[in-house]
Amino acid sequence: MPKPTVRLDPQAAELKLVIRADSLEELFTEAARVVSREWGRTEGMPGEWTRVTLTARDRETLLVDWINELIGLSEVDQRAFNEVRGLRLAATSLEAEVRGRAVTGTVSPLKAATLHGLSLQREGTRWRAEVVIDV
Amino acid sequence: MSDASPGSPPGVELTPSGPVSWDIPASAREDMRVPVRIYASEDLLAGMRTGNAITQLMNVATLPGIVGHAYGMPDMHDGYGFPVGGVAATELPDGVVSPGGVGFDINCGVRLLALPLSREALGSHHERLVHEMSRSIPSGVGRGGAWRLDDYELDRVLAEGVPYLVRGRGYGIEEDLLHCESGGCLPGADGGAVSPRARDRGRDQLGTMGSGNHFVELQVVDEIIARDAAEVFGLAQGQLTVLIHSGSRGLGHQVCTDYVRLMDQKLPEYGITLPDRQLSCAPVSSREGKEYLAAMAAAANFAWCNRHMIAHHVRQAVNRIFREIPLETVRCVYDVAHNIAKVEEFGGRRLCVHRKGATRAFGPHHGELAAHFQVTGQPVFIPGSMGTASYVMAGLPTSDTRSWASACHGAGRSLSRSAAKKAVTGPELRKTLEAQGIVVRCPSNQGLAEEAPAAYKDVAAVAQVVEQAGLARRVARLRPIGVIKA
Repeated sequence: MPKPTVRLDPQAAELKLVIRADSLEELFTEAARVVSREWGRTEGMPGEWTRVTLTARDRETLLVDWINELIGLSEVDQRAFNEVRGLRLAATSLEAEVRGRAVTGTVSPLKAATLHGLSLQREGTRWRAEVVIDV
Repeated sequence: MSDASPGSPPGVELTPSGPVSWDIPASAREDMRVPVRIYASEDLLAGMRTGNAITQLMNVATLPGIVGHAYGMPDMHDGYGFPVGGVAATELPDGVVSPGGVGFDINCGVRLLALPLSREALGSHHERLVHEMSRSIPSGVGRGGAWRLDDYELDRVLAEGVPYLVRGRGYGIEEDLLHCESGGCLPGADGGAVSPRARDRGRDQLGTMGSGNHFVELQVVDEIIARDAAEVFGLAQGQLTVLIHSGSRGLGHQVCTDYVRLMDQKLPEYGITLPDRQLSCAPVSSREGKEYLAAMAAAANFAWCNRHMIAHHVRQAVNRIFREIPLETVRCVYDVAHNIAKVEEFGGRRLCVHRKGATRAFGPHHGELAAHFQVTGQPVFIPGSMGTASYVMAGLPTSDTRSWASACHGAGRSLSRSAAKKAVTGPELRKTLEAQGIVVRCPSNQGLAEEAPAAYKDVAAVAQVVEQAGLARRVARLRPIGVIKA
């Protein structure tokens, strides 16, 4: 089974994130890893699992909300949340637990995911998402 | 989506409407409610044509309640939803307010300090002063400030802005308030409209610079262009200044995120259709519109307080090296927002003016300006990139009718961050800047390279167009001699 792929396409003052994955769960998990990587270098043991519950009007909006939830959590807790478990995704809701390690040096802090040019759709047998993130 | 393809919108002609202004009629697209006007030289316009900014400005022209023109400033470049360098006014009560028309970094802006010290008098303390300022100002995301606000303090910052810091906490002086847009406090702010997540993101960030294009720069007044205004602003040839560029940090980002999402959900209820979801909006008179403006005002007050505390750190750093210089003699020339929406009156009409990457530029005799700026007009700052000049300008009376009293906010990006890093490495740039006599304090080579001068437009050309367009006039040019970045 091919792994998810990620492309970060830099725009003038933001990043366009393009993810391809076999399932929506993989795609959302990969999005969490990208946020974590962009947040910065980490050290130490992972913290406690944190529960995330979201509802939105559709899946593509859920993806933006998911990224924004992780950005907000990362800034408040100073952790990069690279581990996701129990991800349950429905058409308009998401549940998951996330945990991460303490950030020791921020690399490219993210401000927020935007609705600009947002897409999440089937591309052949895979899912493809495009999200513009302000940095 | 109409913003999908880069370049000038196909079939759309830009018609010259003045020496440095270009128009697109409202008839260019069925959904446009007003025409578009862009202030640019031919060179700057050519740069805009390579991206999506013009299409994005045409999208802005579709907002319900928009009046006049959707304006593009000379530093306009691609954003998301609104272009950066876009100005739009909607008429109250039912015109809309769009959080995307303010941006994530609510009240990102600049504050200029004038030191009672010349470059000559600084002498061999040059590197030490930059180092001391760097040590004093927490810079990056994740590195909180020295002050972790409790709920009471945060509420007062959000509601009262800079007057709370001056009168309630003893930071700065009363005169600072007269030298700050809106006196450092936007009325109508409500901390209750700011989500718990936003409060938590900002709680320990007061007095921190943030990363990206934020900076603190030590500069020298390199050229006086308009002596009358320079005298009023207290600037003299060879004098040292410090320019502070920062905003509302994580608190503002979260406020924007929260309200873009809320208004996006409510669009069907208000019967609003948009060409770009990031333009999500609600009537100013609606519950969502009022709540956003209250939360945005709170975030704007936080941002003014943030720059005020950074200025306090700078004052302390100067005083630690030059004991004979009291804190209060490091004067605040002015503090301006360049990501904000404000209710202003033009010709008897009450408008909600969105300035995203644009600076208010009131001309002389405007009722909102302090007495000392009545003759000159409001100070406007146009920072260049690292290693290049910044301009101090003064608002012109013609800006009222030409741009809803707005001017640009900087040189404007021309390259992405990764393209900038391909053009020059951090160590190379550090060496080049140091060879120009600029002391650099930036722990990240990556962060340094991302903000390389090559990534920005020519600030002199931008300032010249602002003047030619009658938006603001040049007063002084500032040359950097020290750069502090995350």
